[in-house]
Amino acid sequence: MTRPMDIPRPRYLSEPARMVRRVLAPAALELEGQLPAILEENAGLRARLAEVEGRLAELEDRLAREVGVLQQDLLESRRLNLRVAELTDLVTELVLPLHDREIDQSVLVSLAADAL
Amino acid sequence: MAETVLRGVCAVHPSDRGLHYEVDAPGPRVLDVHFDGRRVWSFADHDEPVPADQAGLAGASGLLRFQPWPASLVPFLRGRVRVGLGEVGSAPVESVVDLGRSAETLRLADRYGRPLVVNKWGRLGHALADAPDGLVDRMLDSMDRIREVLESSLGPRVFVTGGTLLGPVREGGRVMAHDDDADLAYLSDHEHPADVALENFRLGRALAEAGFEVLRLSIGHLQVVFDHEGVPDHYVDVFTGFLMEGCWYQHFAIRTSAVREDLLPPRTLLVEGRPEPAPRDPEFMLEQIYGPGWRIPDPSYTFDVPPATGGRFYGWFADYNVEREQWEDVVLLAPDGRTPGSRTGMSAFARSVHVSTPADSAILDLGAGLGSDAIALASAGRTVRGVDYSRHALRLAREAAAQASADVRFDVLNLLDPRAVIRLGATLAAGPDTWTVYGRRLLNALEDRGRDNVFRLCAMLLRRGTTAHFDLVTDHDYTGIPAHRHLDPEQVVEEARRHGLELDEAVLRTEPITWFDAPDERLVQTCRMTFRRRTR
Repeated sequence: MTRPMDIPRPRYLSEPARMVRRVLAPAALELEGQLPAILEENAGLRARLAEVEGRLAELEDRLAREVGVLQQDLLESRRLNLRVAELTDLVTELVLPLHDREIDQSVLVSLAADAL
Repeated sequence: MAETVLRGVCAVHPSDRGLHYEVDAPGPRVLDVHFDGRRVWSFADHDEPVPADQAGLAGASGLLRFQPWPASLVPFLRGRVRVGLGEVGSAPVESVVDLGRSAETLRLADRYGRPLVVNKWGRLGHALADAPDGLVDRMLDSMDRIREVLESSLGPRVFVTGGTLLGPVREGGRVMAHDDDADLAYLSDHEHPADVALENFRLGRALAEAGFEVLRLSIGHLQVVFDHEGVPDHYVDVFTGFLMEGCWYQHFAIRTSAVREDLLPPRTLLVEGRPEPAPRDPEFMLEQIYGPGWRIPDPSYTFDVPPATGGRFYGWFADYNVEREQWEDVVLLAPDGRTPGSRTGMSAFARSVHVSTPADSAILDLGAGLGSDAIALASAGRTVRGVDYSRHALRLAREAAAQASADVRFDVLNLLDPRAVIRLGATLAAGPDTWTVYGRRLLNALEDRGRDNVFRLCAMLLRRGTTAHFDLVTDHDYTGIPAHRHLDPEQVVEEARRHGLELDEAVLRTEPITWFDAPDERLVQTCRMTFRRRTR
């Protein structure tokens, strides 16, 4: 796209136009003088922005990976509740009744409390 | 000037592709689809234009719309049928069409002749509107008897829920015509998910001891099923709920702030003239289940459970019903009672196991399905025991065994339930037989919890000289198997290794495979794997 400032102006108009601008809008000439510095600063900011965007993308990727790992860990943690319930049910309903007629007293002694 | 009556749907043009239809004004509206005057499906009308690939209907006078058939219905779309389309509760516009290039009468019924509809899960099921005389009363009688068993353990913490709450509250005490079951829920007094689970195991056992046939779909969902005159008749669901740190979890859709007083004590609600317990604030519960629009009838309603809610229930309450209904549909929905894969004789895999294992070792067929291999192996002289989580499949397997005079014991056993698996392992290991374990098309059908149980069972049963045999689809491009069910042999070997098993042999084969929702056979690469117990 062609911007207005990119349109080449005829040379014979340049100096009169400059004189008119000096009279009517001196501030514009000052600003024009500052333009290279502003452009340079803008380029610096754009480079910085690109760098930050790149870093943000890296962080987003890392965040997505870590959230995925945490979700898996969370699922495993929740599944552990189920596992505890399943095994408790198995022990109370199957293992203990199977053995309740022939409990070895010496085994009970070995399961004595480890601390008071 | 003649008065213009807005009817919604002006015309319907059914085809093998779906429904082109014309409306006289944009929606929103919920539309019922009727086959020969019977509602079979509902969908929400939309304002989207007809897709370019479905265009080509000339002469439409209204706003033209297109709705494809639901996938579950497609296999049945063969024959002449009068298709009706209209807004819920209004007279439909109709059109007669021959679908699937057949002029025979279209039949949409299960193997027992029960009429089918597309349910809120997009699958084929049944509707109370089509129920034979007496079914609703039988179902509510069953619900009352189940409630009594639950209340004897829980006290007054049980109430109707789901459609059995929505229908009576919204429609003056009536159950909904498009519903298919009775629903009960209870609020546990426990707060820790493990305690809630243990309590639910006890409730399941109490129901079984009371003589009910109970299926465990999860810790949060028991399903009690009933036959009538030898045919599946009705079922009652029981859903688990509990409060934890100010949050109410009610399987399978509710996770919201609530206190005990929002739900208990129950209030009385008339359901088909019967006084039934309802949650203390029924409207609060209905809004949590069906959203703020619950007062407006919408047979097309589908649940949209947030992942954060579904994830919690899956982790705490598991899913013991994974794909069971899809496998059972292969049996229940077989047109004219023809079941794919039944009575096919001994598979090549079973034959190789038969000839390579000690003839005096008994064979445990895991995931026996319709029992073809189990029956063939028994007929070849082997002692065989078959287990599967589908009672419908095993009903056919037992019939087939009786016809073949084959002595096979078939048991309903869910390999996703470690309690059932360990109980089986302990029982068989304590007996006099040595066991060869056999699982054809099994590992790809099980999630990780199930495979862990299978290898634990092998570790309990295998002795010196006996082996376990499984096959695996190694062609990951085969789309019949859901993507998350594909496995690598290395992963399977590692899972078996954790239970003290080692790979004895792995043989690549190319075999014809079918799967639920993919009944057409396709040749794919498989790997037959033989495991034995690791010797020290």
